[in-house]
Amino acid sequence: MLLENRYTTDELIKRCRSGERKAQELLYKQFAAKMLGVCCRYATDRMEAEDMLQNGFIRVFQKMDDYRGDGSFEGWIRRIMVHSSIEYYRKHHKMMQVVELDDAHSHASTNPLATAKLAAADLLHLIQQLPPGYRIVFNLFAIEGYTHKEIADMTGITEGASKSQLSRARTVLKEQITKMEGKQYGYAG
Amino acid sequence: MQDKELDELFRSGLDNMEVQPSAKVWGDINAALGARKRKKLLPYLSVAASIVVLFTAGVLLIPQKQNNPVKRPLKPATIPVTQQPPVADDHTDADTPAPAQTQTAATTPPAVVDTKKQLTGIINGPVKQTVGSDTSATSTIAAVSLKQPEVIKAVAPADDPQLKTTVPQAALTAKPAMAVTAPVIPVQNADAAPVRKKHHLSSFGDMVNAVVAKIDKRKDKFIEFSNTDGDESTITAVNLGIVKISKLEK
Repeated sequence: MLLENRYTTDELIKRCRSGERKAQELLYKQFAAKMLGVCCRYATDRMEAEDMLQNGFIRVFQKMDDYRGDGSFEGWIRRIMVHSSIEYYRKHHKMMQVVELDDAHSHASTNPLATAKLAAADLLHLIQQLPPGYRIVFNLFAIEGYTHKEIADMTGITEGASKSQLSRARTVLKEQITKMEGKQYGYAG
Repeated sequence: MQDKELDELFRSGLDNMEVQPSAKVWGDINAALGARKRKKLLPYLSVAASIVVLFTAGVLLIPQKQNNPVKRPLKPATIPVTQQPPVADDHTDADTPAPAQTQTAATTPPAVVDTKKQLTGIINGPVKQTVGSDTSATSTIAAVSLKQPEVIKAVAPADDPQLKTTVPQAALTAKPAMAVTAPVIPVQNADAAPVRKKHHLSSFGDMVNAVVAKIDKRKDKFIEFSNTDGDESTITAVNLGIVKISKLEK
């Protein structure tokens, strides 16, 4: 595998632009695992994540000419993945269903153990359990770092809706973490 | 836990997470890309392949100067030059490549224009000398007659995938005919005037005439072949708009 990476990123991009299949495969292999990691956060399960990954990469190759070299290439691919994932939801789910929560759930709990680090698999599991609307907003805000305004533009919801979705997502997540840590007493980071 | 801590917990844990995709994913991407690429590349590959095929066939035919198959019908000694109506209508045999080619001739002018330019370049130069003195035309006629089929072949495979089935047929029918036909040799002297054969598809020239007739509906085709005494094909007329040359009276 190392022997195959004899192209610089620039050369790889150039070859992909001209449609060279081998270069495209190399580019895919270089970024697929990380991008699947991104898609997994937006998807409900592995299968959905791979669908998003596939759509995302097809878009990447279609839009290759648009990459101007400003900013990191990986960042550019990642943005395409995120957009592709959101679009996937637009097609397959009623994305921003407002889920009515009991008021009891809105109490934030302060638990000293809650600051402990959780394994990636656990975190992923927690995120995937969220309703899609919460999941997407939480991902975009907390992990990708977009503002509510940007989230509104990307998803088609209002800024206000974005804020409330985020708030509800956090509430659910905190509860779940507390539950988890309650079961695993002594779980240390 | 504060909101910020929660966010940070998830961000640090998941931001650089890597998950290996199954092999199926690249396969699907590859397939999706393939559908797109094939459309872009098809014309060029087909044209290139056709040129190679025709060039090879032409190269194979040229050295066989002494082949005069017994099968061919004998020709009378003197053949008068007469006013001939367009050869097109009588050639009913070469039907298969024809209708589709007319269609694509209309839709793919760039390919035809390009090869026409090539032809113009070739013909404009040497042929100007040819009309007067036939003997100097040996290599140029051979060269032009070789190049000629490019135009037809370039037109056919350009965009229409359905044509793929018809073009090989034409190539197949052309090849046996070409194998049987003796190669192009120059007109020996001006008196033994070439005759336009109407009813047989017995030579390479006839094949070309039939195909050209379907594409070019003018009275003077952009290129025309006739058969000499010995049933060889030679170019008798060329009409490219700019260049108009004809050995026969019309």
